[in-house]
Amino acid sequence: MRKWPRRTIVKAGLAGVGVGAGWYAFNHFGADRASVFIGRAANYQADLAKVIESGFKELDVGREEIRGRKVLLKPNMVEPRVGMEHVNTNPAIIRAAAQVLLSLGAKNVIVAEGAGHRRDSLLVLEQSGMSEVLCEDRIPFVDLNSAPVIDVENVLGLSRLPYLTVPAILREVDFLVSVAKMKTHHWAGVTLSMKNLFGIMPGRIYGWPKNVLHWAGIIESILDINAAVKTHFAIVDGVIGMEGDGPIMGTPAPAGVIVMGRQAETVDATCCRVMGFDPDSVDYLARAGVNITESAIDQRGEEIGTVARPFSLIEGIPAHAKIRRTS
Amino acid sequence: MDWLSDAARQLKSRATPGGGFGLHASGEPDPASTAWAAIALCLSGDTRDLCVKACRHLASIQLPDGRISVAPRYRHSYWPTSIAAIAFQLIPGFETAAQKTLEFLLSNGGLHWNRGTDKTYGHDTSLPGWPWTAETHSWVEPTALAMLALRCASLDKHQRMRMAIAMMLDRQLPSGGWNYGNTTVYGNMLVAAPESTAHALAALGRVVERSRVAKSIDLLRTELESIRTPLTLSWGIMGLAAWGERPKAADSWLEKSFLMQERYGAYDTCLLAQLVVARLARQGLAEIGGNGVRT
Repeated sequence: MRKWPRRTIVKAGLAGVGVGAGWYAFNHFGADRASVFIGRAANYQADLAKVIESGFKELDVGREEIRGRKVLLKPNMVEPRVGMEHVNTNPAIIRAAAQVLLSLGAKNVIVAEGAGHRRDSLLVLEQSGMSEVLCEDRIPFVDLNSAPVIDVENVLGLSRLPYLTVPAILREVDFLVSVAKMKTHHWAGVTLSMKNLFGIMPGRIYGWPKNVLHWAGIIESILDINAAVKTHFAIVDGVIGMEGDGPIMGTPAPAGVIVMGRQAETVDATCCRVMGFDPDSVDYLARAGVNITESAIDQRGEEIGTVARPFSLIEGIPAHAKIRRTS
Repeated sequence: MDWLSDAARQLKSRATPGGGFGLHASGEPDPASTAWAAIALCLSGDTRDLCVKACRHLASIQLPDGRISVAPRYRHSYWPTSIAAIAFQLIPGFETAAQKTLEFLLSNGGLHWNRGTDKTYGHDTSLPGWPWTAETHSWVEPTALAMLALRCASLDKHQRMRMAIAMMLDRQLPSGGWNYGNTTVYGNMLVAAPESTAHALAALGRVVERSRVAKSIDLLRTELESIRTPLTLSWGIMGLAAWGERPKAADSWLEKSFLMQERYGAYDTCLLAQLVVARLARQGLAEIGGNGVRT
């Protein structure tokens, strides 16, 4: 019988990691760099760390930048179900990203999520398979639904939210990585790096589901959250994505890719192209204020054309109606 | 020391000087944690002083309209009101505070609308229950909590209870169980979540005919066989208890769940308290008794 490590995995906060590192998570970081890497990974048994390591190299993320940093990996674990690999960020991606970041000298790596639909966070960890990986690799987990919170200004102010209440832990880390899943979304068109940040919004303030954000305007909330809490890096798990009625009820879409970059907007735009969608027709990408045209993005790794895998959409869902790429 | 005593000891250690309980060992007082700790310690029977202090703390943060929010700044997130209402009714001396919470619940609820011909959602969006936070739709778990608070006050026949029962039955999935609160979206049937199913069954226990929720009871009974995480296990046992069932191994499951802190770290106060309540409230949460508050 396997023995669990003595160290427990769920943390109330980031005790021991250190406080006072500043508000790095709220600053734009490398926002002017629009290189995006696409790596191939046929399945979750592939050498994912090698793919992610290659991506970091291509994107000039090296030891000098990562050494000593406190890293937070934010997966998408909206509604886990046993054996459903297309719903959530696969734990193998988290394991690989943590391994590479630690090898580059990260001071520590934590995983944090506020599951969008399910209130039993420990069951979410177990049913998603994340628990096993975190225990084996001794990576702490923070439940963002119940962690201490702070209020930050709604700098963009597109939604009806007067301010944003976010986990205080975001000011204790200095390298926030959105580790999203490549999925269609029946309200937003697609859910990728930017939409993944809905999961940082604490459930005890915004509910399960985070219905406040829906009433405040989903598209506007995505933009407001991403303006207030900037990711430093984005990794999208498209090894097995979801097509059709995402983000929960769709079907597996084995795209076989991992997409990475420093800028969530351009990473998401590249993902859209891989999925066969026009990013300019995705409302929140069109309104993000970033040049997401294909020619403006320095594409590294695989070419989009060689990995493109059109994701199916659902007729009758308004958010799907206009996003199919036609040229 | 048996696990129940250990859990009570851990709960007591979370009490702050002002009577509130923190969500975690060293945290600021948290309303939901305070209410759950009061309920659990009251049922465990040996710490009346802590329960009274906890309720005094809750009464001190109660807003004039009766609500108790997650924090004064977040008055719109008022879902702890229902849990506080149960605590106030369980511990003598807080009748006025209890009545205010009940009046708040009876005069507030989620956003609802007549869906007309819109087929986006499968459920009847006009049936009112309660939301997690103001100005949002009603969802299964906060509605269940509010129903339990009203049931502790013997308000089973109140119009809001009748509407909430209708809402809960309407949100039940055809194959049994409840999602967080949708049935279908764009025609796709969603999947039952055991914690939501458990809350719904705890609230509906003995106020609807068993046949109307039989598939959900079967589903929960089956799912609980393999679930040991404290929130779902505790609520699952309370949900089945509301229907006169208690798995033979329930007590050992609860102990195992308590001991899983070795793996997951110290549980938050709500989870610890819910394990204790599931162990002690053998007939379910709606049957733990009130102090005769009426509104």
